[in-house]
Amino acid sequence: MEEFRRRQASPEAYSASKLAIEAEEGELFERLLQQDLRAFETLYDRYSSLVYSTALRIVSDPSTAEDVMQEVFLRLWRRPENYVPQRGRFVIWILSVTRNRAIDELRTRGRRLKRETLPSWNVEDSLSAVSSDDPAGDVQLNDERRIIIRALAKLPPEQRQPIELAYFRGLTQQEIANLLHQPLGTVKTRIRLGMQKLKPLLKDEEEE
Amino acid sequence: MGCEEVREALDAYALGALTPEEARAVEEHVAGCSDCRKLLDEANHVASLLPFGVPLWNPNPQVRQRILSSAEHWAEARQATLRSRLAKAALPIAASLLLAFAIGSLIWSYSLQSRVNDLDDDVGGVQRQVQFVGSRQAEISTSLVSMDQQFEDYNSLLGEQSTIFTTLTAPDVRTVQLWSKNQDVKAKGAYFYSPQNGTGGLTCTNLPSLAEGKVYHLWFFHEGKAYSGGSFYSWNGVGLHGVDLAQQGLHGPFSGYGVSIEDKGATVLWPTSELVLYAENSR
Ligand SMILES: [Zn+2]
Repeated sequence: MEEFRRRQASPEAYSASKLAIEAEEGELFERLLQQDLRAFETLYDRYSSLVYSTALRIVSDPSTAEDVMQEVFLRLWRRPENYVPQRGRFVIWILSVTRNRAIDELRTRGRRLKRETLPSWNVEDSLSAVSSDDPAGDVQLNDERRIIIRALAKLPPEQRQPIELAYFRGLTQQEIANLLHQPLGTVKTRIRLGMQKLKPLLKDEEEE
Repeated sequence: MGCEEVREALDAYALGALTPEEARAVEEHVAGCSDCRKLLDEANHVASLLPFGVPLWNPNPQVRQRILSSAEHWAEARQATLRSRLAKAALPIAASLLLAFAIGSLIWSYSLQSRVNDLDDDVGGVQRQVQFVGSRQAEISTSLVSMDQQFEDYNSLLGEQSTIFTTLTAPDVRTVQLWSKNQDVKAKGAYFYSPQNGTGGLTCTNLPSLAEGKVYHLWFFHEGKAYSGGSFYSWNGVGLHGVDLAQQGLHGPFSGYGVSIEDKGATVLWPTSELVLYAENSR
């Protein structure tokens, strides 16, 4: 009740659509536990682009990214109980599973890909939406993507780059320093500055 | 590592950019420091949102087809394995649990009957017995609930067992012993019921075996009329049958109880064979 009032009091922070999606996702997940193929299909249609794009960003190869995605979704289907709703949102969970799986893939395929610098991308380009058959879930995800892309766009490139190399290449701070020919201390500082800058930008929009 | 050192490393930790040794030091520290743990949660949250910022691509539609049909095949294969495993395991499990349950209730019913006069002194013991029966019930429920359509019979039995359990745990449960009228038949039974719940149950042992197409039938008698209490089967002569009296519009008190053998599925208004078990209610 208390939570409900708090939410009502700040309509900007908690849009009605977001609450509706969360409730609907709880129900979808219940059905997934009952091995309902339609629920699996809906979750696939809603998140496959994000999962695939995350994997692709990490492994830089479409067919490897597809393999990673297939493994992530089939593992979800076989062991839906691995996701524990109490620990956080489904989309956050499946993306972190994807990230870890893709980084593993990168490591088992040798260091070759890791040695390459991330292909740079214009963050504003990321805003171009991808249509899907699930408009309700799509609006919600697009809102969130917009917020995060804007926050990332506000970072100076020298802070964003080491953060991305760490998260999407699985590099340690020392490896990043070597790759960028920068002192280790500089890399550490830039990672921290960048992360501290992102924190308030994302906190306003994301509930804790 | 102290708090300050750890806080400098938290963001890198959340991004997975620490060496294993550094990461372990952070984990050891936050395990015992709630302030740093809170900061780590925040850093993890920021890191977890980074995938939302990647350029969005649509996967090949053929992959969708591949994944969905893999999922479907896997589910079918799993169902088939499950079904054959259940078919092998379920029947003996259900039968042995039922047996344990039936015998447990029977012993309990008899002991209740024999101590009916000093029941108050024995409430603790009775409650322990009921808890034991309850724990068996949970096992039966778990194994029965997981069975699918083909075990519908067992599921209806489960419903009856719930009725029996409800009856056994009711504060006003009463018991009547049933005996065979025929000296040659060793069958015994206990009928227990709760006027308050409107439920009743019957446990029997040494029931004569049933011919093909036959069932046992429970009867209630009152003022020259017979009322059907439903039919049931037995395992090795042990029968267990629950009756939701209120739901079936059966309102006691009854002056007598009986069990006869009838044709399966037949609508009978009066026992068509000699009663294998019978009791008169003295109350
Ligand atoms: Zn600390």
